[in-house]
Amino acid sequence: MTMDTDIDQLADWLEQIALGEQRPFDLLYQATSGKLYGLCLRILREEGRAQECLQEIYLTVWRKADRFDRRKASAMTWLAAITHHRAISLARRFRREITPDDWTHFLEQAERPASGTSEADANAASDWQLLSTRLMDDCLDDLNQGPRAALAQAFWEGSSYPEIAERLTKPLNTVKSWVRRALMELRRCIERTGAAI
Amino acid sequence: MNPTPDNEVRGADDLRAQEYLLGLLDAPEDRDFEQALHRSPSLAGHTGRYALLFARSLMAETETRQPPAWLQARITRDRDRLDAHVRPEAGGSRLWRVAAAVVAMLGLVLIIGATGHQTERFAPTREVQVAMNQADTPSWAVRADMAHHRVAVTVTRTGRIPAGRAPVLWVITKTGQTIPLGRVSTHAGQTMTLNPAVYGTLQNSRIALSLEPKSAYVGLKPKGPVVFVGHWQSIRTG
Repeated sequence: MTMDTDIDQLADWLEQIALGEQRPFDLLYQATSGKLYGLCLRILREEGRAQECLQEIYLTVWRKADRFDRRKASAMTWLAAITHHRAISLARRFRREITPDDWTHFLEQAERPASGTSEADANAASDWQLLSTRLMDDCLDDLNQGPRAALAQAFWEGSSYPEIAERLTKPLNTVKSWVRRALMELRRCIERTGAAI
Repeated sequence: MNPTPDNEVRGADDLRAQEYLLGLLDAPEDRDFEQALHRSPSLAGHTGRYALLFARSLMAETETRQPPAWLQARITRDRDRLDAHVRPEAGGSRLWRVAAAVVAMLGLVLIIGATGHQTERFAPTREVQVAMNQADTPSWAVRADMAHHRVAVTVTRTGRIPAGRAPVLWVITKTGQTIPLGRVSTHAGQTMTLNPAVYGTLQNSRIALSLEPKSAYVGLKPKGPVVFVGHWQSIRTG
């Protein structure tokens, strides 16, 4: 998928899927499944569970595409947010109550910092998202080495606190402290730029 | 829309939101946070916003990996099965909406069974008792609901696994294809429920257990030794 040219197309397909059209669903799958499967694999590190993850995501898309709002997020970001939540849920040993279908409801409630219903606001959505991406990268880069390494494990690999402690060969409490400090700093960093969370 | 962002979500709740999204909370904390999400629209909106922010960054760093071709067929089949019972809520005044409403009234239980993976009743009909042929090793009961392609794995005995290894369950199809079900726990009493994305293969399959290198990526074939292979047995009822 080429991000720049296909963002609107993906959003169009989601809106058509919300109307019950099957062909856009197939096209959306072909355009996005590789990326979402990559995300599932990244978190779950198991082909079988990643396949389970992907299957659940697309069935949720079929049921809940009407909850997608292109003014709040790009189609790919919306799909990735559902996928990330599900992959994390599958990776944990305990059972989460919030299903992918439920999660679309919470994403529906997410608002952009610059709220509004005007066309100008709607057009600004992609700018906010691009800004956010840069911010995330910059803020992560600003962290000290220990917290940054610990948060990177959690963020990019979906690792739990015990897994991070084992991989970094650090005490569990140290790792918890590092990650929490890094997350608080992440928020402060984002806020400093004026893009309030 | 709220003209101001959720500035009131601060401190501990903000941290919990991020930890929840990254799966860092332990089980009771995770459950508590999910309940809080249901209670507080501002927390839900705040967490949703973080979720989109995180997702956007993750996508930028994630490599494309093509899923197996048969998976789309499986998803399409399940989609059509859903479609036969109930349609998505949105849409215009199509006839199917009327039909769906009639079906909904006549067969609510059937609809719940078809649409709700999490709430669907798990009715196992087959099982395999998985054990390793060594003392002090764990054992598992693997039960399958063949009708809904769901599998529940319960640890029936706590035990030890050789250092540096992790137990991984597999489905071996009639044609010999191996499909990973996933890593399993070794602590007695724990149960994990799976919806394996296998396409018409559970019915005549076997279940295998291998000891994979710990923390390693689990691919489509075992890398470690296969220490158990067993056939499904019918579960006796009554």
